[in-house]
Amino acid sequence: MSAATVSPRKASREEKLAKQDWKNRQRNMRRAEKAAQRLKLTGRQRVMSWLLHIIMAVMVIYCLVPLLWLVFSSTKTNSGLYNSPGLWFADQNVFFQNIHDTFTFKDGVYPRWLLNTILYAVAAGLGSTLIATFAGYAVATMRFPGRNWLLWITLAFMSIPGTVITVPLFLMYSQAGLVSTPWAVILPQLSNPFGLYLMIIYAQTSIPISLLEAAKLDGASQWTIFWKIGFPLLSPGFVTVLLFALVGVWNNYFLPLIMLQDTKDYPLTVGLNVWLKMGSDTSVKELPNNLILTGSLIAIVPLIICFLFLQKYWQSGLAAGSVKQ
Amino acid sequence: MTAATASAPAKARKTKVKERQDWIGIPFCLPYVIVFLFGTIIPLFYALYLGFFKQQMIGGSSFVGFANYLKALKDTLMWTGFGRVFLYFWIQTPLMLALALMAALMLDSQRIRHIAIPRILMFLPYAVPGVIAAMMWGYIYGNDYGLFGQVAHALGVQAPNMFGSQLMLFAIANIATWCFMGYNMLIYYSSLRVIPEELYESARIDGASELRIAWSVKIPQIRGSVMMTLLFSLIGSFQLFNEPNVLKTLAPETINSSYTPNMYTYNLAFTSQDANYAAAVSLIVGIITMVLVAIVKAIGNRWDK
Amino acid sequence: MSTKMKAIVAAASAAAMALTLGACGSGNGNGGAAGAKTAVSYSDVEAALKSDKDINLTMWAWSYDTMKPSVEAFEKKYPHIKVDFVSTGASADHYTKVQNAIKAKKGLPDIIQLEYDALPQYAVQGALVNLAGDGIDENIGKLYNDAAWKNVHVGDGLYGIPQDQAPVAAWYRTDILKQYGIEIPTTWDEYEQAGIKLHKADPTKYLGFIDTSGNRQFIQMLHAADATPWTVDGLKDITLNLTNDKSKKVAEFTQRLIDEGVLAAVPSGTDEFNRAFADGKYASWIDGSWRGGLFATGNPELKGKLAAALPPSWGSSADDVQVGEAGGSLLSVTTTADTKEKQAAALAFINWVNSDPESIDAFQTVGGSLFCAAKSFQSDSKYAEVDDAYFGQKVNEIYFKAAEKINTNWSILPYNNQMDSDFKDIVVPQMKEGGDISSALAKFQDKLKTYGTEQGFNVTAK
Repeated sequence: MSAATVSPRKASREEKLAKQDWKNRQRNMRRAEKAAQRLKLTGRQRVMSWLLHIIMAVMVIYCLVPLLWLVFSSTKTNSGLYNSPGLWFADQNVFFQNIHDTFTFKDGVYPRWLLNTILYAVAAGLGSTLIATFAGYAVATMRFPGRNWLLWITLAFMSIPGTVITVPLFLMYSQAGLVSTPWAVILPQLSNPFGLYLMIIYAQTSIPISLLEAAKLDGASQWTIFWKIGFPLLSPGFVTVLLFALVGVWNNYFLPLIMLQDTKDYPLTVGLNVWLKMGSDTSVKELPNNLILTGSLIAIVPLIICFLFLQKYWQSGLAAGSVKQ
Repeated sequence: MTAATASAPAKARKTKVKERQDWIGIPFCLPYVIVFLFGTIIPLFYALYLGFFKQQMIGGSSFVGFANYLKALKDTLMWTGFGRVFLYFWIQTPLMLALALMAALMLDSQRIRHIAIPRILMFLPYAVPGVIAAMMWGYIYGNDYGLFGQVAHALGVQAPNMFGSQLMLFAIANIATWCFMGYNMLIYYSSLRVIPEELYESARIDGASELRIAWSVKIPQIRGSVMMTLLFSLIGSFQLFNEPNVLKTLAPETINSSYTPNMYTYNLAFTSQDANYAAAVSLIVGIITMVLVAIVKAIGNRWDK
Repeated sequence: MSTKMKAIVAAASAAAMALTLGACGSGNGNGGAAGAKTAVSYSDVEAALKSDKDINLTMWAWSYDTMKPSVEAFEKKYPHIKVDFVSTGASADHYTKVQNAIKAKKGLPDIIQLEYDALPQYAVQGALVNLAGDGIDENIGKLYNDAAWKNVHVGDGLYGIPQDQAPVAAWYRTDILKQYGIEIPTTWDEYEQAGIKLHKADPTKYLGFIDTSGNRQFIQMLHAADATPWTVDGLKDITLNLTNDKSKKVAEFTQRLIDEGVLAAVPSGTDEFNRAFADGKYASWIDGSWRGGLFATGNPELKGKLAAALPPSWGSSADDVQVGEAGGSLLSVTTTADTKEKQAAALAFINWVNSDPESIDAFQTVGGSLFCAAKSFQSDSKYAEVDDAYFGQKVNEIYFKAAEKINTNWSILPYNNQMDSDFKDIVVPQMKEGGDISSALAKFQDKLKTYGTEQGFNVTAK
């Protein structure tokens, strides 16, 4: 659709301009950073700097202590779990055994849950972020009827507790025959009001309207402008929203619990909860506490990898957006 | 962002004649509108409709008009829970947002080395599922065998009972702060990074302290984000569910089934099998929250001017 | 994109449909007239096994892994009946799914697993088939433990076939008792004396605990004490009597045990609790027999230090002990099985899985032993004789005796979930030193009456 309205020459010129512009900005950014590092700190500033590091360290420790408990727990046997200090190792370190057992417990249902979670998170996370980016971009840069309403209706409806819609949602999906299919988990999570709000703010602060006007004068279609200019500028916002969306879908418990019926289709959060509740169910004979904790630790790892992986894009995106006029 | 919306009507009036509407904006928004319609609006109206009925285990369902809604307005359980989350909002939100803002400003001050490390470490708790978070904090709060208990034993004092009715709100506030501080920090930090450097480069060269720059340049620049996180925290507080619901397993004597309005509606819908009344209560809670959001937003607009 | 659009369009039309559906409401036998009596007789059930006509059944259960070998054995033996068996996860989640499917009037399988406590709730909603056809009671009833057979009845209807049972038993830390010179108590009076002695000798130790995480432990005490806090007649007449002398006695006694340091009031299953139990803070655990099987995986370090016993008696000697129940499950046929053929096949299947010696054997080999409700299990000495390696005892013998002593004078409220929630809201906060459980029971009764009346039951409170 876009290729038809814009001549190849113009498109490539625009692309080049945008790229060059972006490169310049990155270079400036790097220079500024280096300059800041070279900046000689006075004595008082040095004390301040120490102070900052200490405060930061305290905050990081606060965030980490509970997680350390999880890490140590994952190295313990079921009996070591409750017979050793929470924040240290037990006599026996069975970390790798636990990982092996977690992946093979109950005919290897855990790797299946992991794959399900990845499927739901990628489909719903990417989908909802893209949808929010389209809408956020349009609201921030275009003038059309209803643009102000979109955000406020969204925000107003967010104020209503989510539990109220789960029952109707289930009834609707049940009639449509979508219950117990991946669609039942993915479709409702495509709507991401937080993402929309965030994207509108990003688009308003990081997209210079004049750049869009210039491209428009060159005859580029809105679609092309969005992908060639808007989207690169929005990438920090996009990555941030994507990250939140991924985590949100990854950890969503309630929707899959209601919508799915077969344990084989469960994502990790629901699945691990099944193991957790096994201790209080009659007719079930296992109490895999160490595997639940190991499984929980493993469940966080993909998110960390994702964060580290996205960080690269995120920072370059930030640099691009940062030199705004 | 508020500045932009405020000036939009004025601009629109001026350019009405010259500028055509960008109808293309509508297809850009269409996917969002569709998913929002089917994910939220339609189920919500369905809930509204359900609120006009009553379903009995013996006797089936019948139309009862506004009875559920009127009953909800007089429901002391709902109002008690409401008062509790209101108090919780005042305890938790300012603290969490201040900490998050402080962390973001520190990361942005260019005085911290290897910022990628603290940035991801502080964000990590957000990635931890609620049930696991409760297990972790269950260990930490533990009065005898937990971290609090062990530290208290070592010091020869009595560990505070975090699960008593006096401290419970703080126990919940702490878990929520732990969970969402990094999230808010990330929003602030990414907004700080898009502030044009020129705005404070000169101030820095003039020898203004980082603290001063943060206060007079950076914070006002990201007030859109601050406002946004405040509104989301407000909504989050009034929909408080996860933390108390999982702490309920640790302290069933303190947290009852109507501890927060959202726990109450959940319990009505899934334990009492009264989805109809649950819908009525949720909608009333939602409307009150909406009004509060509007008030906070109005105050925020004044801050902009 | 096109499938997504299809789904969206489907959801849209569904929304419209659902809106119209909601208005006409009840459908399926609501209004007290729970599932009409089936036309399936015992000879139909026998014929269903012999027939060669293909029948496909669907089933949901949470204890999938435990049941799977039995289901497979059945399919091998009767290949014309195929069972599509879905594992729904934990029992609490399972109920959410069942209730939702009932609400949506769509998607309920032919067979569901239920706990005895949950059965009446679904029976009165008309979701289950009444299986009391000709010859069923005579020929199938005799295969199961009497208490279990009573528990699958609601009013005059038969709504399921018992699978396993959970007579209450007690487990004691023999090493701790030995250290303080305490004998395993056989009555509650002895339990109290032993508890006082232990707590006095070491104030950090308790003889036992009262579980505040739900109603299970306290309500089973009422059951064992023959306190009859409620009786249910037919499908909708309920009489509440939580303030009778026996209930009051149990409440006051429990309160006293807490005040004296015999019982600690704690929620079980938390990290703090598990650490405390491993550390020997609690010298006994009273729960359904299935708990015994969990110790081996949960606390391997306590091997040989725990001994199973009958729970303490409310009477004056061990001989007049009556036992409560804490759990146990059954299989029900739902109204989704709407033909006579299907119902007969389903009943034949669930009866075979729950009582055939071949299936019972399979239950004993998977992940420890399942305490089956079938007499073919409970009266077979080969199961009673099994020496349990973890306890160093013939524990089945003890559980079998407990099952024989189950107090059959007991009804289950048709709104057990709500009862549990109200119990936690009203009674649990009083389970503390200086609390007042007895007067909490009166408030609890008021709440149960209000809810029951709202749901259309005839509730009288004494």
